[in-house]
Order: sequence, then structure tokens, then C-alpha cells
Amino acid sequence: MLYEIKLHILSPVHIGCNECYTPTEFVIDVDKSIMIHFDLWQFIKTLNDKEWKEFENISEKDTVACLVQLYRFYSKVKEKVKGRIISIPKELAERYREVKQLNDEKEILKKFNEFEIPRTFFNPYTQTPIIPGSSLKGSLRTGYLDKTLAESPDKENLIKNADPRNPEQLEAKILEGQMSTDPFRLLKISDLEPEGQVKTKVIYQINVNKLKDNIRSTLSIPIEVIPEGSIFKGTVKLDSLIENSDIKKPFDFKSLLTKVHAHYAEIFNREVDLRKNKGFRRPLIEQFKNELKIKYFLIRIGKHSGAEAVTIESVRKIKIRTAKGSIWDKTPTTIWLASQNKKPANLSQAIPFGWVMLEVVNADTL
Amino acid sequence: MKLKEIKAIKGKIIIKTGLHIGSGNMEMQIGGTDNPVIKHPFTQEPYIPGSSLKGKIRSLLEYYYGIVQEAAKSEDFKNSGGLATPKMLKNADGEIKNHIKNILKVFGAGAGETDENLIIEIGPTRVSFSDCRLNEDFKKQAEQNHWSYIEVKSENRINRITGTAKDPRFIERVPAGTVFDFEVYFKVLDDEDEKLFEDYLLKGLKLLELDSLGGSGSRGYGKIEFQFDDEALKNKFNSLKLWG
Repeated sequence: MLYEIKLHILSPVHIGCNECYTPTEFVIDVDKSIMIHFDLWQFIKTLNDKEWKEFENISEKDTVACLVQLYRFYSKVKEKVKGRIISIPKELAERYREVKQLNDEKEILKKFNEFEIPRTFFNPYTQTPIIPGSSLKGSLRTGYLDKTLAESPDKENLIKNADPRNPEQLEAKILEGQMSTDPFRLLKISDLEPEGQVKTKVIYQINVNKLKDNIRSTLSIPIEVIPEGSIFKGTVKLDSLIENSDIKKPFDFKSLLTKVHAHYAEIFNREVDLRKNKGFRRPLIEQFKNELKIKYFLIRIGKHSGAEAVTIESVRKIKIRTAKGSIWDKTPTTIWLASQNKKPANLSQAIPFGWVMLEVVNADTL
Repeated sequence: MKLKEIKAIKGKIIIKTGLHIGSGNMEMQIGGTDNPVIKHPFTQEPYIPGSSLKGKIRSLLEYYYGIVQEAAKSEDFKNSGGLATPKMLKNADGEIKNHIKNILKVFGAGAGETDENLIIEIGPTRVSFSDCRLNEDFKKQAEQNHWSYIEVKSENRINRITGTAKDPRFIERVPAGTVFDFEVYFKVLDDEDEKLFEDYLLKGLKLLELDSLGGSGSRGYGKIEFQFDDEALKNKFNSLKLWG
């Protein structure tokens, strides 16, 4: 059976791809708080002889200071720079202005690290973001495992024997299969591409203690995200089970999504409770409410989904670092939020990462 | 049995999601990934081997015509690998037998087959897939834009007890948007072969569009689209119904 799906992005999503924006390929327009990401080869073609000479001189230097000179040069010719526009926090734009004034090498290196901005997964030809099928499939699998274990008649035994060093064994027991007999091999999820134009943006990822009032500002790092309001589309194919197959525990798409929704809705509701104390923003799900669990299913994907979203509730063991070493606990003590400010006075503009509403377009076939 | 015609299907394969057809690692390269895609040894450009297309299409047709389902009923065939085989043909009957015979006609019975009667009955393999090279217009566009034909996807696995990432790996893919040329030839040896062309080859191509090519198809990779040069064939392909 083939299903068309859409992902409605409810809060910022970052899918890691091990790549950062390199300082040679962007310029920041401080006044507009935007980053222009350009193709270096196309840019070079636009330079006149004098500019080319200057660019060449900077490129041939082997000092740290040449990084600042490059920034100054880019800013000088920024009218010529054509590329993809990415909105950035005002504070980061200001930091760029400061970096351009620096002369001290140590200081330059330190400040430069702030512009190591991790990119969200993208198509290298079009530079547009992609949500890989692997990310979505992993999230669906976690939700399904969590609720299947919760309903298992052998629950107590499975929980007692769960080994954190061998999580695959627990998964195999819950699914009653492994590798060729794993029911998830019947589920084929495509990579998802943007519907219409999706403009990524840069925000700060801030780490907030759930209990205390402080914000750990040392852990406020910029990151590129897919913003809320974006929509991605793709397909899901669920192969039918062959009679006499060794896959013992197949599922249909509706029951998979129902369990997945139940897993993530619990975490969502806990965040709503936490919000009452911390005051951060809540992803808006009202427009989907009438057809929730019928056509729309809540999930969470990508970086900073939080340890609770990516683990099985009854066996969860989270390593928590304390002043005296580390301890194991059921729930993490901090939460990561997406924020426009590096160290906001309050969290009213900040929002948790990774919330997505999965829509089954042809839900009548579920 | 006489060669009446060789039908040629020509067109483009558009990569819709990153494609990984693995090559195995012949030698260790510094900075190389553990999972490279197959590349032409001289040009280092990725290509789609005809064998990958042929194998996947054959496998999908075996599912589509119920041959896999039939094989699963017997322990002997369940673990035998290739399904639409001369061995299974001898043991099958009715409609399934017919489908197996037709798949053997279109895709071949294997070079090791020694049963002369069967070889005569089936005749030469009808279909021949060429390796698919990068489309020239796409190459020009890629060169102008300084595009690499390869992206590297980093992946990991989540330990669902501790919430930590493990088993990091880097996999090469041919990015979505890449265009390859493809050519498939089909020998028409008797009147019935016209039907085989539509029911086995064209339907096979259609099934592949709905599934995926290469590795990791269950987690996003390898969605493709065929674009045919011939307008009449394009219309025929678009109006083909697989079910109902």
C-alpha cells in the first residue's frame, strides 16, 4: 500500500549532516540580520581587476588575521554577492560586526568559532533542506517500540532483562524479529522534499534547566533550522506480508501511527506542563485538532528531540552529569530550546525543537 | 521462433531521492567513506549498472505475480535465493507456472541451465539493460555549477534505552536531481512477446518507480522516475494500471 504523507513543521527542526557553513561562502548583512550563502565560483566571476587583486592578496596570506580581512572584503563588495538568504538572530549579526573589528589573533579564533554554524540536511544541487526518510523512520520506530512494550503481556520480564549495552536485543524481543524478520523492513519511507519554498533560518540553541531558573548561556550555539510553518512531502510504502513469512509481528500503518502518536503526545503534554513554569512557547496544533489520530499524527524528529522522545519510557536510563560525576536517571534535567536571543531575559520567544505533525494525505485508505 | 523486431526504450532516469548503489571498498582511501557508490573506473562518475535495474525489476515482478508468495509455501524454495527459476517452473502449475515461464523468457534462466527442452521452449533472454551513464545536458549543468555528483550522508543509530547515538557511518549517495540516460532493448521473437513487453517489462519499470533502486530503500534512498523519449511509449506507460 502506498501512502502520500506531509510533514507540517510545528517547531524548528535540525537534521544533522556533519556540515557547517564555511566562512568563505557567506557574508552577513548586519543591518538586515541576514546571511547570504553564495557560490564562491560564481562570486569570483563578478569581481573586477582591482577587487580580484585584493581577494588574491588575502587568500595568499597564512595568518589568522586574513579571516577577518576576508570578512571585511566580503562586506565591502556585498552588493555583488548573490545567493541564498538565511535570516539570522540580530545578536549574531552584531557579533559579525564585532569580529570585523578584531586584530588580536587569539580573539579572532575564539570569536570565529561562533560562525561555525551547523547546517541542516540539504540537497547539494539546490541547497534546499531535505528531511531524510531515515530520520522519520527512526522516530516512528521509537514510538512504536515504546507503546508495543507497554502493551506486551511479557512486559515485566522484558523490562527486567533490558540491557543498556545491548538495546538491539530488547528491540528484537519487542518486535519478535531482527534484521530479515524485523517488521520495519516492510516499511519504506522516502526522503521528504519541501512543498513550495522553504527558507531555513539560524537561531540559537539554548540549554535550560527544568528545575532551576537560570539559562546555561555557555551552551548557546547558533544552528540552522527548518522553521515552523514549513511543509515537506514524501511517500510511505508498506509492503504486504507474505503468507508463511518469518516476520512474526507485522503492523498496519494506522496502528503504527496510533502508537507513535500516543508516545509523542505524552511527551508533548509533559512539555505543556513544564511550559507553565518556564514560560516558553508551545507549538500550535489547534488547526489539526479535529482530525487528530485520524489524518494527523504527532511526532518529533531531529536534533534536540530530547532523551525522552528517542527512548522507551519503561527502560529509559539517561546519563546525567553532576558536579560529583554522573548518575543515571529516568528524565533529563535540562531542555534545549530554539531562541532568537543568546541569553534571553525570559523564555517567552523560545520554543522546543523538532515537533512535527505527520499528515496522511490519503487518510481514507488507512 | 524468429527475431521479428528489437524494441528500444530510451530516455532518462531522474533521481528523486539520494541513490546508493554500493561498489564495495576495493582500497582504503584517506578521507574516503566506508560506503562508496559505484563509479566508472576512468571518469570516477557514478553510473547505474544495468544489472541493478534488471535484478530489482525482476524481483518486483516476482512479488507482483505472486511467485514469491508461492515460493514461501515451500521450505525448499523459501531459502533458495532466485525464485522464478527452472526448478520452480517444474514444480509449479496453473497461472503461476505461466508467470514463471514468462519471467524466464524476459529475464533469462541463467547460464547454467542444461535442460535442452526448456532452453528451446524459453528461447533467448528477451530483455537487455544497458548501464546508465550521466546525461550529457545534466553534466554540463553540473560542471557550470561546480556540483559534485556525490553527497555524503552521515547516519547513526540511537540506543533506545540511554538515548545516545551509536554506530556512526558515512554513506555516499548520488544526490536527488541527478539525471542518467537509460536504454533497454527487447527482442520480439514471436507474437506473444508483444504482450510480454507490456506485462513484464513496462509493468516492471512502473513497479520500480513505486519502490526504490539500490540500497537503503526502506529509509528514504533510491526513488526514481523514468522519462521516455518516445511520446507514444510515455502515454502507454502513464496509462498502465498495476492494480484494479
